[in-house]
Amino acid sequence: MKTMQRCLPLLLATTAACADAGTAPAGDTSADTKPDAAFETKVAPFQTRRLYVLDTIRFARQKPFGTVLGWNLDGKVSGEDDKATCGKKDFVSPDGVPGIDNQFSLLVPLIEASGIAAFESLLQASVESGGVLLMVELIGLDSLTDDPEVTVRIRAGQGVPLLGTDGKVLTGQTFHLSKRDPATVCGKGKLAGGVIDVGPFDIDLPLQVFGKDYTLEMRGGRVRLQIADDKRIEAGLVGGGVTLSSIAKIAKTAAEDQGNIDDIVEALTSNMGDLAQDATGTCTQMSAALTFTGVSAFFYPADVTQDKL
Amino acid sequence: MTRRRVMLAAVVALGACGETEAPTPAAVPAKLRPAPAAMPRLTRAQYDNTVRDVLGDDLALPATLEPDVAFEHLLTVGSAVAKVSPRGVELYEEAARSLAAQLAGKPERLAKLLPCKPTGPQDAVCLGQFVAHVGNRLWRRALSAGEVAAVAATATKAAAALGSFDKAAEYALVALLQAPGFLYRTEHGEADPGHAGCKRLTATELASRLAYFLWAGPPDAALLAAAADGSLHDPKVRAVQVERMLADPKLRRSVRNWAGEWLQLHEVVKLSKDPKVYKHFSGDLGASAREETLRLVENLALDLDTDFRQFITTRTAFVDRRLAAIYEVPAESDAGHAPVQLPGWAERRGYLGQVSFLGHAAHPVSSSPTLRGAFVRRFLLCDFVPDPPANLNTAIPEPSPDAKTLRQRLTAHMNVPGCSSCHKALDPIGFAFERFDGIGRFRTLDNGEPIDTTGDLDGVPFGDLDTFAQVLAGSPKFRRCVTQKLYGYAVARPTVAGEKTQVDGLAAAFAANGYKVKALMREIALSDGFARLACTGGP
Amino acid sequence: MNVRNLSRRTVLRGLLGGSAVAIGLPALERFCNDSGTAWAEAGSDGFPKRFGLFFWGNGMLPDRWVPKAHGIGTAWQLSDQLAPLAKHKSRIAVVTGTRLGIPNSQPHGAGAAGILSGRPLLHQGGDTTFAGPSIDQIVAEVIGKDTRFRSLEFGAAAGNGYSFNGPNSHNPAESNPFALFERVFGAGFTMPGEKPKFDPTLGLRRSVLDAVSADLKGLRGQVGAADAKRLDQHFEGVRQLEQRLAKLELAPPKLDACKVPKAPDKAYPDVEGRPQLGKKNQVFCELVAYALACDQTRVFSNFLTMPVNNLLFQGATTGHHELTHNEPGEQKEVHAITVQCIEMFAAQLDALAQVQEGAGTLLDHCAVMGCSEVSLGKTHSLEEMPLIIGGSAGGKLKNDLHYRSEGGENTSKALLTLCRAVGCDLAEFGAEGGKVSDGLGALEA
Repeated sequence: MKTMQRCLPLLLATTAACADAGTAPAGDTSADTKPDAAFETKVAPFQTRRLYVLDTIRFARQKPFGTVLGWNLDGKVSGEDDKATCGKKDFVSPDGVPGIDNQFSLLVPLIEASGIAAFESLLQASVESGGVLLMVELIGLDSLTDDPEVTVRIRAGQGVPLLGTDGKVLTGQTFHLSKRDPATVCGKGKLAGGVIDVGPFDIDLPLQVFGKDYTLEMRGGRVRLQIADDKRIEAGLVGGGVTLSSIAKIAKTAAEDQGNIDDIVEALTSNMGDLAQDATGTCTQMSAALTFTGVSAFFYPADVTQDKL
Repeated sequence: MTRRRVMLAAVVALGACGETEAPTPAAVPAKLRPAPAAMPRLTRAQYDNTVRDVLGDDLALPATLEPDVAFEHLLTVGSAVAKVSPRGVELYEEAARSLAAQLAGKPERLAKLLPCKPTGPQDAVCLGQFVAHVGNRLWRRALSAGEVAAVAATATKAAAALGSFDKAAEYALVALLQAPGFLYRTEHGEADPGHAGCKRLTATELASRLAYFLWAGPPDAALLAAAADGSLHDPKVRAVQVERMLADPKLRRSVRNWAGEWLQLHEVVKLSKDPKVYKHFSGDLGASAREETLRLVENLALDLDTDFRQFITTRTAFVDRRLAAIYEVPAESDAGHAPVQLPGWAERRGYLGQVSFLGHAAHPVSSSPTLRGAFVRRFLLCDFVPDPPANLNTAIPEPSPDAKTLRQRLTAHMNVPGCSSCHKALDPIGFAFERFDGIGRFRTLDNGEPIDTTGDLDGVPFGDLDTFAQVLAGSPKFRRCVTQKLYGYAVARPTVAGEKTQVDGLAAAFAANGYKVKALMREIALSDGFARLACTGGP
Repeated sequence: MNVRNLSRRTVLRGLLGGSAVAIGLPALERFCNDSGTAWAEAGSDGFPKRFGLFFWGNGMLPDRWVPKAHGIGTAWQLSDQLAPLAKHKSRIAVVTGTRLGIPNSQPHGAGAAGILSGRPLLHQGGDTTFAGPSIDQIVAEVIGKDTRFRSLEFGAAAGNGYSFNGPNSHNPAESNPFALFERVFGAGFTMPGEKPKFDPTLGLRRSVLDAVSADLKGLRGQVGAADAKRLDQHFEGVRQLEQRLAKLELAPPKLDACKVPKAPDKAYPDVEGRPQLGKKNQVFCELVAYALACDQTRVFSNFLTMPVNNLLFQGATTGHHELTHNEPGEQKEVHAITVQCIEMFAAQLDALAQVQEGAGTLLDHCAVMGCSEVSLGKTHSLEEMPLIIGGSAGGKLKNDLHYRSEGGENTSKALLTLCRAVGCDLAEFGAEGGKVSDGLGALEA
C-alpha cells in the first residue's frame, strides 16, 4: 500500500509526460509469456487520493417542525434578541442539535415565491451544464471507513460535464481544472465510520451562470461527508458565512440586462446577515448550508502537473 | 521481476501451446492450387475511394448504394459474390449522374481532367482523348478503341442536344461510371509462363489487385504505367512498386478499412444499450468505440510498425472523454481520441478490453460470456461456430440464491448434453471477461457475488482478461487467423482449399517478421500465389 | 420491329431534332400488353392488381393471436391481437395454423427466408443470404414490368429490408419518407393525363444504359458460369431501368384517383429515445397508396421493423427483442407491442381503402400480405405462422375469412395462392422444405 502511495504521483507524472509526447510509447511486449499456473486475482492498489465531482447540490432547506441542516458557525446558540447576530435566531438540526446557523434557508422560499421560478433546480441545472462544477478531494486516504488523518480540499472544474442516460453527471469522467480553482484546503480531519468533518476554512467559490462568471465568498466554512463506496460520497454538507457583498454582486450582475435592481438587492440582502458584525453593527455575512453528493472524477493530467499537495 | 520473466519465456519457448515449430520465411508452397479468376464488385469503400482518387475528393458521394455482402465475415471477400440488384442499377445510375453533374458544373475541375483543350462542342478528337484518359483511370485499364467510341457516341449526342463540350464530358462520365468496367474488377488472366497449364493475372489486373489491397483504391498513374508495359510481372519491379505503395499515405485507409471489416466495426457503430441499465451509454458511443479500435490498429500496424500481437496485450488505449469515463482513467484530450496508458495493475488491456468488443459482444441489458466467446472464436481464432438450434427457449434462468452470478446461471449450458457440445467451446472463453459488464465497465461483483473468471483456451489455462490476453496473443491460431483475414482481404474472394499451405506459410512468415502487419502485407503482395490463377488439370 | 423499339427510336429522333414527340395511349390500352390484348391480371373493372408486403419483426403471441372460431363472416371474430383490424374485417383473410417447412437453421433468419421466399436460409462462408428471390420480387418480375418503378421497398425501421432478387442481391429499403417522396413524386414524375415535360436527358440516359447493356453482354461471354449469372441479373436490372425511363416519355392517361400527396417532413427524429414508428408508417402508407393510385408501381414492401429489432416501442420498458426473450409470464409488453404493429398494418390497409378506384377501392384491387418471421418470439417458432391478407386482388381472394389449417399445412401454399391471385401464374412456389405446387384452396374465391 505504502509503495503504491509513492508510485501513484509517479504514474500521474508519467501520464502527463505522455501527453506532451504526442505518440504512444511502445506497449507491453510480454505477449508470449505464459501466465502462472496459480492465478492471483488482480487487486487494484488502494487509491489514497480521490477526487469527487459534486453531482447533486441542494440548499439545506427548512424541514418540518422548523429544523434545518447546517452548522453552528459562530459557536453560540442565538435567540432573536442577540445583537451579534443582528436579531437572527438560530435553528435546531433534525438531530436535535441547537445553535444551527442557516439564514439562507429562510431566503430560499422567498426567492422562489418572488417568481425566480425553480431556483433550486436552477442550481442543479447549473451543475449539469457546468456552471457550478465543484469538486471535493480527499488526500492521504488509507481506508474507506477509518483513517486518523485525511486532508479535504475543495477544487473547481470548468467545461461542460458528460451526462449519463439519467441526466446526471457521469461517474469517472475527466474535467479541466478551473482557471479560478480555489484549491482550498478545508482542513485535516479524522475519518470514522466513513464520515469526516473538517473546517473552518475560507473559500471563494467560482460559479458560472448563463455564461457569466461569479464568485461566492464563504467564510468560516465547514464541510462534512460520508464515503458511500469506492466511487461515491453521500450525505455531504457544506456551510459557512456567505458575504453579503458577494451575493449583492452576483444578483446585480445576473440582472444587468433587466435594468437596475440595485435597490431590490440592497433591500433583500442588507438585512439578511447574521454573522460577522462590522463596526457599524451590520452583519456582513449570511449563514448558509448546502447538501451534496459526489461521484468519482479526474482532472486532465496536464492541468494538475503543478499541484503542490 | 526480470528473472521471472526470463524463466517464463523459457517455459513458453519449450512448450508453447504444444508447438515446437521454428518460424521459417515463406517459400513458395509446393502444393499451391490457386483459385480461379473472380469478378469482385467494388465495395462501397472502394467505390468512394476510386471516385475520390480519380475525380477529386471534394465531391459529394451518393448517400446509398447497393449494400455490400459479407462472406467469410469480410465485405471485401463477399464482393466476389455480390450482385447488382435492379434497385442497385438505379442507385448506380443516380450516383453517376450526380457525380458527373457536380464536375460539369465546375469548368476548372473538368479542365483538370481534360488532357486537351476543346475547340468547340463537337471536338471529337478531344472528346476521344478525354474518354481514354479518364476511362483509363476509372476502369483501371486502357480502353479499346471500340470502348472509347461507344462512350463517345452518347457523349456526342449530349453535346448536340445540350450544346456544349462540358455536356459531352458529363455524359461520358455518366457512361464510364455505370459500366461493368468500372463496377467490377474482372480477372481474365493470361497464360502463366512460369507454370505450364496455369494462368496468372495480367499485369493490369495485378496492378488493380495490389492497389485495392494496399490502398483500398485504384492504381495511380505510375502503377498503371508499370502494368501497361508488362514490367509489373518482373519481381524486382513489383517489389519496388509495393515498397512505394507501403510508404504512401493511402496505406492507412486500407488498413482501417480492413480492420473495420475484420472486427465488424460497421455493427459496433450501431451499439445500443438499455439506458436504464447503462448510464454511460450514449448514441455516439458506437462511433467512439469504432474509432478507438481503428486508432489502435493504425498505431501498431503503421505508426509504430511493431509486433501486432500487442493489439491484444497493450496497455495503451486511444480514448476520448466518454471512453475514458467508462474505463475509469483520466482522459488526455477533451476532443477526439488520444492515447493513455491503462494501469499495469488493471485487468483491462488490448482490444479485448475495448467497448467495441466488450460492449458489442453483449446484450443490451447484460454481459454475455456466450456472445463474447463466440466472437473470439469466429473473428480472432477463425473457428467455425454454428448457430444455436432455433426452436429452443434460450432464456437464461433468473438469479436465484443458488445461482447468483451469470456464470452460475449458465451452468445449464455446460450440463445439458444438447447445449454443452457447443457451449463448452464458447462460454469458458467468455467467462474471462465477466469482470467487465455489458458496456465494458469494470466491476468486482456480479449480483453481490465475487466473479470467477478462470478458464482455459483449448487446454491452456488463464485467470482473467489480463492473462487470457497473453494466452490468445501467443496462440498460433490467432496469428494464423489474422493472416487469413488479411489474405482474404487482399485477394478479395473466398479462399479455396488449395491455398491452405500458402496461408500457412504466410502465417509462419508473419511470425518470422516479428508479427508486423506491414511486413505481412508485403509478403502477401509479393507472394507468387498473389498473382496466380487456377490451372487446367495441371499441378 | 416491336412497338417498344419504335417508340424509343421515334423519341430519340425527336430529341435530336430538338422537338418532342410523345406517344399518348388511350386509356384502355394503358393496361394492355404489347400485343394489344388485356393484361391477364387486370380485373373485370380494368384496374390492375397490386401486391403489397407488410412485415414486422419478432412475431406475436399465438395464444392471443389465433381467433377462437373460424369460418366466414359472422362465424368468427377478431382476436385480441387482431382487434385493430376491426374496421377492415370484411376486407381481410386471416390464415392460422400453417407452418414453415424449412429447417430452423438460424433464429429469425431462417424464418424470414421461409416466409418471404419459401426457401431455406442459404449459409455461405459463415454468413447468410436468401437462396432465391423474395415474394415481392417474384411478383414484380411479372407485374412490375410496365410501371415506372418495378417495386418500392421502404419502412419506418426497415434497415436494409428483406427484399431479395436472389442470393447476395439485396434491394435496399428506404427509411426516410421524404427520400421516397422525392423519388416517386419529385423530378421525373408526370401526373397521368398531363403531357410529360420534354426532357432531353431521358434519351441520353437510355443511350448510356444501352451501351452498358452491350458491355455486360460482351463481358458475360468471357467469365465463368457463376459470374455470368451475376452479370445476367445486372443486365436485367439495366434493361428494366431503360424500359422505365422509356415510360417517362409516354403520356399516361388520366387516372381519377391520382394526386400528389403532401411532402413529408425531411426527418422524423426519435422522441424521448423512442422511434416515431407510427408517424413514419402513416406517412409511408399514404405515399405508397398514391404511388399505386398513380400507377407508378404495382408492387410494394413495407418493412415496418426487422427481425431481432430491439426498438423501444411506445410504453415499453425495454427493447422488443429483449422483451420477447426475457419478459416473464404472459408477456403483457410483448402483447402491447404486437398490437401496435397490427395497428400500423391497419393504417396501411386504411390508406389503400381511402383511394376510390372505379366502383371499389384500391384495397379491393390489392393483395397485401401481413407477416412476421416467427410466431412466438421467445422460442423462434416456425409453427402457427402469423399471416393476414388484406384486399381481394380484384375478387380473386376470399375476404372476411378466418382459415384455420389443421394438420399444419405449409405456409408456402398461401404464398402461391397470393402470387396467382395477382396474375403471377406459377406452377410452384419455393424450394426444398418450402416447396409447394398447390395453393390454399380455401383462400381462393
